[in-house]
Amino acid sequence: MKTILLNGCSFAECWKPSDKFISSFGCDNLINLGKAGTSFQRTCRSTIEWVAQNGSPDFVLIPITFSHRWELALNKGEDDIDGSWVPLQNSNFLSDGYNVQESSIDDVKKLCDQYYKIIPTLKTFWDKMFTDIITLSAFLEKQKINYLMWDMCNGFDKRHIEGYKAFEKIKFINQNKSIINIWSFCGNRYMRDTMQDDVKSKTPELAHHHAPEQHRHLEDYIMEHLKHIAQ
Amino acid sequence: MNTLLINGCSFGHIWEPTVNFVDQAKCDDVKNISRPGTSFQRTLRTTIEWVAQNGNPSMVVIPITFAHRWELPICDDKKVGPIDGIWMPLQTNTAMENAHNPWKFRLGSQEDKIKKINDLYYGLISNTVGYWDKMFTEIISLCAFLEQRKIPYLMWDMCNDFDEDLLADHPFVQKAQLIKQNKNVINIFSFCGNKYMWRLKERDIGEPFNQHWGSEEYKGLESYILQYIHNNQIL
Repeated sequence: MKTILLNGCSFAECWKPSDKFISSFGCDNLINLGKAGTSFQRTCRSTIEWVAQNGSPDFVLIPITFSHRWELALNKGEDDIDGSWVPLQNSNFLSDGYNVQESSIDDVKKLCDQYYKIIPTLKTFWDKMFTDIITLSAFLEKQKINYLMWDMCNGFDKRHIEGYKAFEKIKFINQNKSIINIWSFCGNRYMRDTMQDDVKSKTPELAHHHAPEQHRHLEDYIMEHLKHIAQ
Repeated sequence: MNTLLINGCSFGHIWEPTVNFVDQAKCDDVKNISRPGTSFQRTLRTTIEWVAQNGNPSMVVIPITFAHRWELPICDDKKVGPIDGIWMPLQTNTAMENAHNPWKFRLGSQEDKIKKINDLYYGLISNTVGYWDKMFTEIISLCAFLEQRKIPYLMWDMCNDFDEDLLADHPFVQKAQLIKQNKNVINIFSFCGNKYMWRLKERDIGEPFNQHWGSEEYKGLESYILQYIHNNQIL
């Protein structure tokens, strides 16, 4: 069995790749580890844990989630991949149903409110995400696992980090052929652009769960991209 | 110039490697970018940023700091510098208030807000293994980055004194095996740098070992590390 491992947030979870797409990688099996509301921190942790438990998949696909999300180990769910980790984002998106043991979900919401209030700009989350993208890429390369990552919903723009120090590391991302140019490509935006104009105008540019029809367009783009970088 | 890059927290910061150690590491220059009070998240981020700005060093050595520390991007970058950007290291409020914490004076008007966040953060987390899982992910990631760039390196736990038995009920931390298999990380479940230095002079077993040792103890640590490098053909 040849396996594609797909990992990310709900934008991965809601994607049901076509048989044609899966077979284009020479694979016949898909494991979708995507989980709604989760962070790239979780993508890194759970990809590494999956490889530690199962060995190397034949290909890894990672649609990169929102940079501002994070996680804390609060749960007592203890499933084999996610263990105690609870995904965190703006408090209005947090579920009252989270199992946080003796802690209070209200305290979790308070922490998230304070966390997002004190950080001056969304762009500063990018530094952590860029670091994580570089190291997850390195991990996959060390394990000799082919992979492709692309931004799914951030819409990165270089202008937003002009003047900030300590962003030299982005050159490692820019030079990496296994990461679709994060400054010019965004998966959700690309899928939106494949919609008819009247539907497109009513659809959010970055944060939207697209229908299978749009995912087929994304799959075509990815297959073309892989052919291009293989040349 | 062959550069030895050292990165970690205060346990890296106070270490001034002897000429012999630097020589045995096949280097003739030392860059110590360790900062007191900082996390492994910072070690990971700044090692990568340093390499991006300066190219590959000849060797990287990393004494691994406390697993519970973290950081937030809330500093004025003019005060911090080109490697750390806007990141503020965070640890428990008691430790943040320590007069020796160099970051205490940079908290400024945000001090109360940071303390509230820290209280909530540390108050919510009830299991040490959560911190470990994050740190293990980061150790594996940083190792992969250094290996990908063909940079010789060595890491070891300096102050956590990890107990493998605590992982028994946590099946989601199988990744620890990837660390145990890596000869460039001294076995984190059997070696702890501060504990090793504490035992050098057969101190009372009841004494706390997490303190800043002097140059004599660090020389003892250097000897252990050089022997490990030799035995395991790290260079």
